[in-house]
Amino acid sequence: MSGDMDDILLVFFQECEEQLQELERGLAALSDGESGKETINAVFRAVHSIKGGAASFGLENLVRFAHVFESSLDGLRSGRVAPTPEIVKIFLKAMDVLSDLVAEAQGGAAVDQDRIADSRTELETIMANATGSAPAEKQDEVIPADFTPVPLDFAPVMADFDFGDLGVEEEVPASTALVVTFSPHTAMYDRGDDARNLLIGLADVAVAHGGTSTVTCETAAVPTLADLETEKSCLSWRVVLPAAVPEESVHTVFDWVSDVCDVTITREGAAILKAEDKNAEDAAASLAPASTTDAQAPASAIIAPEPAQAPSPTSAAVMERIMAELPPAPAASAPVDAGKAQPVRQPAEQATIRVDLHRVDDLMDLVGELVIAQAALEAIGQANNGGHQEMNKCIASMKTLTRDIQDAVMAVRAQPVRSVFQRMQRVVREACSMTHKDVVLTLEGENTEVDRTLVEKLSDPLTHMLRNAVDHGIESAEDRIAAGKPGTGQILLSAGHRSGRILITIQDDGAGINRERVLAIGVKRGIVAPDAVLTDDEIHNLIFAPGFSTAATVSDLSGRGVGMDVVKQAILGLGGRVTISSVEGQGTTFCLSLPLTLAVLDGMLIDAAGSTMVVPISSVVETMMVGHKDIYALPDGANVVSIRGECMPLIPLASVLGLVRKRATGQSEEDVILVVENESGARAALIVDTIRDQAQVVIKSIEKNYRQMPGVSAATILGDGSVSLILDIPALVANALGRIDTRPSDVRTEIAA
Amino acid sequence: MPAASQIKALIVDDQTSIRQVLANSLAEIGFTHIAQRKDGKDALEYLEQNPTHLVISDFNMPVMDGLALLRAVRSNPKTQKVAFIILTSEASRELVQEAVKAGVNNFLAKPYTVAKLREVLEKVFGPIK
Repeated sequence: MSGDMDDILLVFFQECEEQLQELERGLAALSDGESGKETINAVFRAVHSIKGGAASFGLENLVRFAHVFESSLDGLRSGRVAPTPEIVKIFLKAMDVLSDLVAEAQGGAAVDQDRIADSRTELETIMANATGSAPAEKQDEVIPADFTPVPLDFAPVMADFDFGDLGVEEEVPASTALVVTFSPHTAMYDRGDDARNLLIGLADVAVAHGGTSTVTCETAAVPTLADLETEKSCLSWRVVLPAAVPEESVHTVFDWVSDVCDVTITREGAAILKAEDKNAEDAAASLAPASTTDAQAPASAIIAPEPAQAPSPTSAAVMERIMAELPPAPAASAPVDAGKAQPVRQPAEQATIRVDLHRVDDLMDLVGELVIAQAALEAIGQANNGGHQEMNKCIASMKTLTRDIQDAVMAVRAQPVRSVFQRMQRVVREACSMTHKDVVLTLEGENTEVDRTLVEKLSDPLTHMLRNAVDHGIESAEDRIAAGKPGTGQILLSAGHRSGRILITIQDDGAGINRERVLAIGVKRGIVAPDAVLTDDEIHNLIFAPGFSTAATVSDLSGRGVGMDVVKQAILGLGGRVTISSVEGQGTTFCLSLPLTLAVLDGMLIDAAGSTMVVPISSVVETMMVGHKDIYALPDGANVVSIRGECMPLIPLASVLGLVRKRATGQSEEDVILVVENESGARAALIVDTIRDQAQVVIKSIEKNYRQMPGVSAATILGDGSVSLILDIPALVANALGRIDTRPSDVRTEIAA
Repeated sequence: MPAASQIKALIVDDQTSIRQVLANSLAEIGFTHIAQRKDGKDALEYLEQNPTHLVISDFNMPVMDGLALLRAVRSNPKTQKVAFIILTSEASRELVQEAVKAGVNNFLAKPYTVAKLREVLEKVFGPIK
């Protein structure tokens, strides 16, 4: 049983996670002033459930704390305690402790006793100060001493139901009931046939004739454990069918197993039936009444081992449980087929299932390979074009299907960012209590779905950025009031989809970035040259430079040895970008732009100097041919191109990447260019030889297999099996802009002209 | 004197783990008919369709709680004679009294042992084989 218990314990911990999320949602609603009965009940129930479960599993620490927490929440529920902001804060703190205690029970780090004691005292204070009637005394024995259990006269209750399977009041089928005994040979199990299917088949027959079947399992032949041969069949069944059932129907059910089992069909009277039943009383099991034909099957809960391929169900107990679990016979469509059909467990309770992540990941990998194989097939089809119209049609529909499969798998892996976002509430709370600031974190777009690999990896960078926002972004309450702002700081964490990417913004209403100070520190740390002239953007980006820290004193919070450069690296590692905008006195906004998935990418295949490369479609604005009259040379040798009056740097892709370009710029009348942009909207034009195709490519890490290369973000395998590089457009654009100029375009236009 | 295998039981609790622990305990006593539902509403639907002798229900559940379920069960002629046991760790005396008024057969306090469960059941059904 201990294995079972371990499994159940795992389920319990999963439930705890859910309850904690529910608790967090509820408390968040409470702190927003939403103190409806439902909210309060949900909050109470979450803690109550954790406590109840923990008690069942003997998790003492958890029970003790949850009990105090529950009592004070009960005060809230009964209206003796009002959900004032102070009290909600205490609850939030208690929730964090509770969550850590759950982690502790799972084998995590032990929770600091002082923290538990503090929170406990706070909770008890709530109860001590509760208004109205005296708080309910803690009762070890909850059930009133004067309560007498209400005994039940067992038999009469039964009489109210139309059972038919209880020894005493057994309602015997009509005297001509059809009795089928069925004992499978070991050979039947060897062949892979399942006794359960046959019993379902019989139940179907019964339903078809407007009655029910009663099944009794005969366990007398089961030897003692010592003599048990696990491969040997020893169970048999006795099924009573309504009188209306013709014997032929029963033969049909057993038709295909008649060589490997013993079946007898008799019409018998009630007397024999009763006598028999007494013998098998303990093993009595009956199929659910056949009147139930809807999907609300009694999906019982002991998860029965799947016996279909098992050598032989030798354990009577197991078989009985399976029998108990049998769904009512499905509509009596085809009794013969019912015998062969896979037993269907009807999911009456859950609309969701838990699946190991690695299975989904494996599936995703396979889909990735499928995409490559499909592309290869497509390439062959195109090479032989004209010859195989039919094949090309098939390939085209396969392409659609491949994409649909991919989308479906992606959808399976997609998760709302809510789980991570909600965790951030705690991060902000803790940061606030350490810095003695008052900050409200508002969440937006928590339902935005992204690939779950990404969801998990967001946690660390977000944690750090939010700590930073509280520590460095938001001013102290006095400073805020002096600046004419409310004493409570605001941070907005929002997520949303934008053109195939997810955009996460962290916006605070703090002091903004002090550019002089940042620049001074940058110079002091030797990150920038003393005489460098930097744009505002460049100064902002200094905080991402390795070795940069503006905190006058290394605070407990942000100064934990991780700088913003680590955050930036983490985001870059996810294929994302970070941009900052900041207005002094009004606050700072960090913008993270991330791909929805780390697995596939829609790309444009282009050629440059004979190499095929991939440009992510999401960064391509337009493609066009430009004449040389629109290209202007700057004094430093770089070129800009004017497109509809807008100037942008021209990137000769081949030479930037160090490839030998076979055809020098300027030989032909026109060049093919791709107008690309980075996340902040800065544009540049890439000169390429030709545009080949548009395709979905599977991203393969180049760092893992080779090393990081500037201007290249990853690699992929094309349909013809060749390796192709995926260009890092933002890096290329930033590089080009850095070389040329970042002043407003009207200034540049003047120079160019 | 009913045999455990004759008693058709329904466990109602919103927590899967609690249901499974209880189902295991019942199976240990010898129960073979054990259905589970996650709240009062689902339980009522089940009871409507499936003859049942025993309901063991949690107090606090979403959608429809144990007390509401008990009242609904007692007000339906089809189900009113079902043995109803409330599984509780509830600290509230009022709720317990409400349940007594509504006609609960017995209580099972969490945490419990299999022996305790048997004792609670036998107070309702008499000795169970």
